[in-house]
Amino acid sequence: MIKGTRILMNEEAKQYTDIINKIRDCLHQF
Amino acid sequence: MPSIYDLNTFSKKTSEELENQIFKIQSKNDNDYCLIPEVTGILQEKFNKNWFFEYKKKPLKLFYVNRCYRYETPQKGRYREFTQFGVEILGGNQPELYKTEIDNLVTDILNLFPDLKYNINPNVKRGLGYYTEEGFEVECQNLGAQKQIIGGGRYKEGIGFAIGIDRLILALNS
Repeated sequence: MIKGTRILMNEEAKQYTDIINKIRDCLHQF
Repeated sequence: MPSIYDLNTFSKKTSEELENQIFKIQSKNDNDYCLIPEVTGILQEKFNKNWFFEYKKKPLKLFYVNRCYRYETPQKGRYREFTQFGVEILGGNQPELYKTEIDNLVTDILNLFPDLKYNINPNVKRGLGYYTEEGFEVECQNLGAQKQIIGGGRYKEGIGFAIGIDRLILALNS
């Protein structure tokens, strides 16, 4: 791996997808 | 969105700063390629070339979640590979209404995170060349130097913004 890249796993990966899903849900009224 | 593009896809419409950060790829032939540094410029180009013709509804409202790449010195909140969640309103003839819609949507999104401490700067000159007027930015002071988590504004084809998901998560966890 090179500097400035990361592996997201477990809790961090879950938070990442949860946040994206939450924001996407906001678009229903858009 | 694809990750790999011809280098000249971005070099014309971006700022000098971003151009210096483009992640270039050495190819086996004479073509110069790069990794996508940001999405809005691609959508503007597709819109101008009528690529979205099958979507009859105007304006065209889009969102994307995309990995982007920039060759920068890594530091807290500044990664070489990061995720942007973006929203764009393209075309149509009610720019003031679209501005209100974008502002309301940003407020709704920020309200999702009641613990997030942020400031909204409603008038800021943004780094990318395609903006036609001052844009807006949302900053989280607890992130340090790389504190901008949302940025957007108006451009010739419409209006939009992008959220830096990695920085948002950092801000929420710090």
